[in-house]
Amino acid sequence: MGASRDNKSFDDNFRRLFRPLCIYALHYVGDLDAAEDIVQECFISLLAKGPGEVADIPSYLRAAVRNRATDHLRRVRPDRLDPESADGIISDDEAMSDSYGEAAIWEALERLPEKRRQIFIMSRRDGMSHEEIASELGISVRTVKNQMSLALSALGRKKFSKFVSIFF
Amino acid sequence: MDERKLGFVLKHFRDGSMQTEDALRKVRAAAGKPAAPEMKARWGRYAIYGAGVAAAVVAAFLIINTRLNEWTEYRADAAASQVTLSDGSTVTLAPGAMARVQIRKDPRHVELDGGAFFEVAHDESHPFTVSSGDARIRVLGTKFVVSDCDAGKSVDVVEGRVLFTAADKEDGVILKKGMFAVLEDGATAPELHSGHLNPAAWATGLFSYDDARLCDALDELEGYYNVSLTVSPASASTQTFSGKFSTGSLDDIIYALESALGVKISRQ
Repeated sequence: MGASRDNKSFDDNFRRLFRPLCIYALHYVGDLDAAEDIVQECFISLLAKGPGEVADIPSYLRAAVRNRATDHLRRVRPDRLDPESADGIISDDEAMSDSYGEAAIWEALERLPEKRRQIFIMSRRDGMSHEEIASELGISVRTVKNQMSLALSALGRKKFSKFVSIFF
Repeated sequence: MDERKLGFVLKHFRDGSMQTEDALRKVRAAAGKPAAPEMKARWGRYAIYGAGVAAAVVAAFLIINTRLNEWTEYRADAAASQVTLSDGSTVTLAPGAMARVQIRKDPRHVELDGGAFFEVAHDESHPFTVSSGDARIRVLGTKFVVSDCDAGKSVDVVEGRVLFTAADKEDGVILKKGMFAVLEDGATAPELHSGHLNPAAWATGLFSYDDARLCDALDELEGYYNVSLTVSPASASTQTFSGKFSTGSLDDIIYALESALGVKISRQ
């Protein structure tokens, strides 16, 4: 009974924290596969602890991820160990607090139909104009505009400002 | 939307990455501890192995039957997230909450684990039902919040009427707008308590006050933001006011109240 309850709370923590922690690690290492590996290793080390040994699981995981991420950086990029965002260096706290909203955006993007997501990424990441996207994909400019506005409303509908941070 | 966050996500986005359930299985396997059972819907588990028409027919029947009974699961991880059901009702899940629905069989029955705000599409002929632990909630069309509290399960009604009962019990309480009841763990019927002013503020992003007493509003804000608020002069606390405020900034709300009511509100 006790063991199965521990299992369940571990799984709940994993489901809640896995993606935000991966994105937090990604701010450091800039490599999605490395970030996922780091976070999985941290959860494995948490499982190896005895019951009650870790009082504050989110804080434990955050510190463990940060340590492993900076260890990784020392191997691949020893000159600079700071976390980064799209527009430059940010603080560790910013990396953590951004990661919740980013996990929500990531999920919203993931749920878009594939074509709509492709159009959105071409426009917002690659900076292509509606005309360029239309000719590249062989569709009308009006379709591009419609898909863009559907994508934006799907992403806007999520209440990004409302994420609850449990690390602070 | 926050451009910095969107920019970061777009820079790194890759479809099919960070698969939480796959990663959880890997972590469990690496540590030699099996996962707790998860209730996620699974498609296509049935494959047609047998040769011959009879086997194919049986398998086809199984697939149809399984899909009809299939549970679709919705989960809010770190952020509140909104789901629109096929009947037009919307469910805003609180962070960490999980809801599951048999979309094909009965889209107007939701099983809930955690808190959620419901905006139910009106349909006289099909009642909308929610089960959460031992709590059963039955409505025609309305807005209400289901929460887990220390004592058990609670329901706050924002609009319309709701029948709130314990599992397998006929009798319960009928809640109307502004009413609040708690079903304590193991109890046979919910009990009425004094209601909250804005039980769905976390989901709607809005505090709405209609002729509310300042002290009641401040009580609510204290609980929501986990701060302590005092008003001076103290005699002003029974003053009433109306207005709507975004939940985004407590400072903005305090500033608006101070300017409108000519009081001083200090926070600790």
